[in-house]
Amino acid sequence: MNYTAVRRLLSRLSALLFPKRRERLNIRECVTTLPVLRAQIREAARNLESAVSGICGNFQNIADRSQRAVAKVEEMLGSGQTGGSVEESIETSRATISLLLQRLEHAGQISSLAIARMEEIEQTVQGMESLLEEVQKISFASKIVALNAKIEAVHVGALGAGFEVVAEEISRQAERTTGLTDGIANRIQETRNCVHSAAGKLKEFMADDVTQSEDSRNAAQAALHVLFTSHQNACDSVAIMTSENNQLRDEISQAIVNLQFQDRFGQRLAHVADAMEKMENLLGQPAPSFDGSRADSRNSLLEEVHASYSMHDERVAHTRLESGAAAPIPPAGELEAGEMEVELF
Amino acid sequence: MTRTALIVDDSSSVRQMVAYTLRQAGFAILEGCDGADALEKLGEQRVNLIITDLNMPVMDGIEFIRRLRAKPNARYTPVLMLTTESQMEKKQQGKSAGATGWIVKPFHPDRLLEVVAKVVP
Repeated sequence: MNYTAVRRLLSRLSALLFPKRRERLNIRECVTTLPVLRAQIREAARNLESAVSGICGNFQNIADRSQRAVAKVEEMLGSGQTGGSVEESIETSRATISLLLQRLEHAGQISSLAIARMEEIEQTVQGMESLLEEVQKISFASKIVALNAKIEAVHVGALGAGFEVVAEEISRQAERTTGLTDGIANRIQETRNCVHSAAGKLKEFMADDVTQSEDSRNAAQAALHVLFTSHQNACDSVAIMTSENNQLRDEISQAIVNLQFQDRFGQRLAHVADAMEKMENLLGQPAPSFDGSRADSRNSLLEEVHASYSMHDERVAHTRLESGAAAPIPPAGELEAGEMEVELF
Repeated sequence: MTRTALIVDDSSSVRQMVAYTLRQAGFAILEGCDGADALEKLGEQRVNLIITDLNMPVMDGIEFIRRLRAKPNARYTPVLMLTTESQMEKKQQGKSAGATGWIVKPFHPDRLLEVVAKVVP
């Protein structure tokens, strides 16, 4: 046998007699992959945290936007804490329109009063015309008297000459009086016509005004009613929005609770990665020379790993897995509403 | 006057969730990613509430509270531990260090606010 053949034989014998040596070599080869796996675990945990942070931020933005929208609409409708409200504006409009209509009614009453005064004036003017007729009668009678006086003066002759002059003067004055009373009668007639015409137009205007005022009142009331109804509907919508927003807030709160699985999951991954690091260190050391020491080392490692846990779930799962039971992973981060372990010192 | 809370946790998502919850109650938020970072950010500033994790790199929650309590202006600041750890031994360490209370994660936002209302008058 040559040297090479002897080496090959010894190698085979060695593999048969010392299988552990072969196994240790394989494990050493495998150990080189552990840092990569560890890094993968840590990176996965970081990526998960980043994703959960993003989701959490999105939820918060949704909640903030929703709250801002509700607050803005509440402010606009005046159902919030701030400033002038639509309800106040509607009430102010209602009061202003009522005041305006009252003024219109007042103006109508004044117009009625003015018409009554005009009719009184018309009657007074009518009275003045009657008086003027009396004056005209007196003037006519004076003319007759003057004529009779002239006739009588002619009968008397020279003695009646002075009396005739007086009769002539009376006749002339009676003529002037007739001319003046005719002028006055014409002016009075014109005045009466003007007053009558103005009163008639004012009456027509008033009749229209009363109808239009009533129409305006009805239209304003209807507009205010529509505005008020719209406002009520908007308020109802805001109430629904507020309720929905509160629901959204509660659901986001629950989502926050549920998203905390990531923290627990991340911690478990970190503990696994830490344990893998310990394994790497142990596997890099020389193999123990007898089985008793190996068992001690295994128990020591398991205890060390167990001690590194920070969560009850982890410890329970570890104990069950160590005993060989197929341990289902306990649900993490799932709480009933309001359940939370608190202790105040 | 706006109240301020300091949140100390190495998990950014947890800081984010706690911050969101406390903002709903009107708190302004300071954040630290571990005990040392939190002490540096806090400086001489006074806050109304501190919520801290237990297991963090660089400086854990227990050491953070010990150092915090050594500061005259933080001696009576309410400090709540918010951690996945629920062992009695750890709780005792937290209490000895000066923690005001212990909350086991996961937390429920409404319940957290109830606890906060008890410790921050």
